[in-house]
Amino acid sequence: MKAETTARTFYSVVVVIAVVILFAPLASALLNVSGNQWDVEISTKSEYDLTWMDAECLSSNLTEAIDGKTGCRILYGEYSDPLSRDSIANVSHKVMSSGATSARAVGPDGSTLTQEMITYRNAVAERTVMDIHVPDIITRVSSISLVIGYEGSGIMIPASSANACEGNVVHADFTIPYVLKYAALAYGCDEYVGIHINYESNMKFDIDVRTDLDSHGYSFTTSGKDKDVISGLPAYQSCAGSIGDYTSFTMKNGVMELDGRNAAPSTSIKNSLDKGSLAIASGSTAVILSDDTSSALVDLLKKLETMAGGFA
Amino acid sequence: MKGRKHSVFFGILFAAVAAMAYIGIPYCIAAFLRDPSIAGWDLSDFQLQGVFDMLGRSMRFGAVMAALYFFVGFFRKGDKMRIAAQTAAMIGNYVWFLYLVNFGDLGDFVGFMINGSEVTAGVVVTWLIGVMALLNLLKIPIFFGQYWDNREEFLQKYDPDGFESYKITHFSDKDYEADAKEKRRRRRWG
Repeated sequence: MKAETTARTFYSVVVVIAVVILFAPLASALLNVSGNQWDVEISTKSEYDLTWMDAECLSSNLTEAIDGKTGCRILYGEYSDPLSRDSIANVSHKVMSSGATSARAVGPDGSTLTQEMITYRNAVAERTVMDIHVPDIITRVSSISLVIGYEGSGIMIPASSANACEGNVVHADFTIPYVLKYAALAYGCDEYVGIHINYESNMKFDIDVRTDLDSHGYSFTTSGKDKDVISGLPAYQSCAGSIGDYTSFTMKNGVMELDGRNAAPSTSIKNSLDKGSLAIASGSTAVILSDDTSSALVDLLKKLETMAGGFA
Repeated sequence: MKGRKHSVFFGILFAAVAAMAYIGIPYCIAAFLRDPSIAGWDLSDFQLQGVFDMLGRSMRFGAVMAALYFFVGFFRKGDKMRIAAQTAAMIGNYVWFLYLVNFGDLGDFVGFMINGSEVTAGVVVTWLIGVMALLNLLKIPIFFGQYWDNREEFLQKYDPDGFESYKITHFSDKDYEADAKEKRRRRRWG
């Protein structure tokens, strides 16, 4: 055999071996994903951690869970009560006063109901728990990370816990300070959940799943020389606290007011950020923001203040 | 008969084939992806900017590759300069690959929608950079094999003086036996 032919044969064999070794696992995984398993959806079982809830919060979650269905029940502790659209508020108070630490909403057939996501609230933050159903390929992922973000705002909050369970379900837990959320909604940003998946270090997938949160109805104005006002919040939310060392906030009657104390709130938050991590606190409850998230909040408030005409 | 050592025709032919591979094919793929309806496809849910960027990079570097392949065709098989040209094209091909894959990071390569969710897929091909280096280096035995197989014919056709010295340095046992036989015949018959 001629030298060139020998060398070409050897080269072809090496190329075939390299292609098989490198791409066979991915090809195999892709072939094993059937057509309808490519869907991505957020669907969370209606199982509640009552230690993070009050009656109103439970009520709004139950409303979403039963979604007009009849014959549903709530199981808590050793008790069970029927649920209907009219009885939800009363049942919620009853559940919360029972001292139970967890509850579950079930349908007429006894199966646990599902809802898009479960929302918990405390004085300064909202906790969102959700199960994201992703394609089966996730069973072969090397790493996964989740953020909840607001499109165009630069705000991205990493999940406090995110883990893949039962093959293709990613369970995520986010804590989102109200100040961030309402500032982003006032800016008109759509909320999304970002899933970043590394597949065997070769492929990376970024999946942005939009939540159904509506940003309409939120608005931003400035007041006086040092106040930002965001309106359109749920009316039942009421609390007061601080953002860093130089800014305070109040939420009352559907309005959030940020007081920068003789400076624009964006400036006073930035000044506070220069001294260290930014904490949003109310009473004994506090949330610490990462530097990236804090900077995004400062930038967003600055944009909103500029759009609103700035301060006199 | 002594022919011309170089071939402008083959140089142009090689450059044209390279231009077709590095510019023409990516151009056709890009044109098809911009209007896939000719094949009855609907890619409106796909974000293909990453793919277009990659094809654009291939086309931009394609002119350099065509120039390099001109020299591969210009020098004939068996010419030492062809090995140099092939090595230059091999290095060019590797640089083209690095440029093509954006030095290993094809972030946001392709995007598509699933149930209203935006999915962006990126490819990290840093591992492929090493594999491609190895595969390119394995072409070197091919270049030398081609040179080895065609050297004698090349010298015979295009460099008779070189062929004489080639014969001296490549005098095999078989040649020696044939030569000794010829000398014996001459001695016997005069």
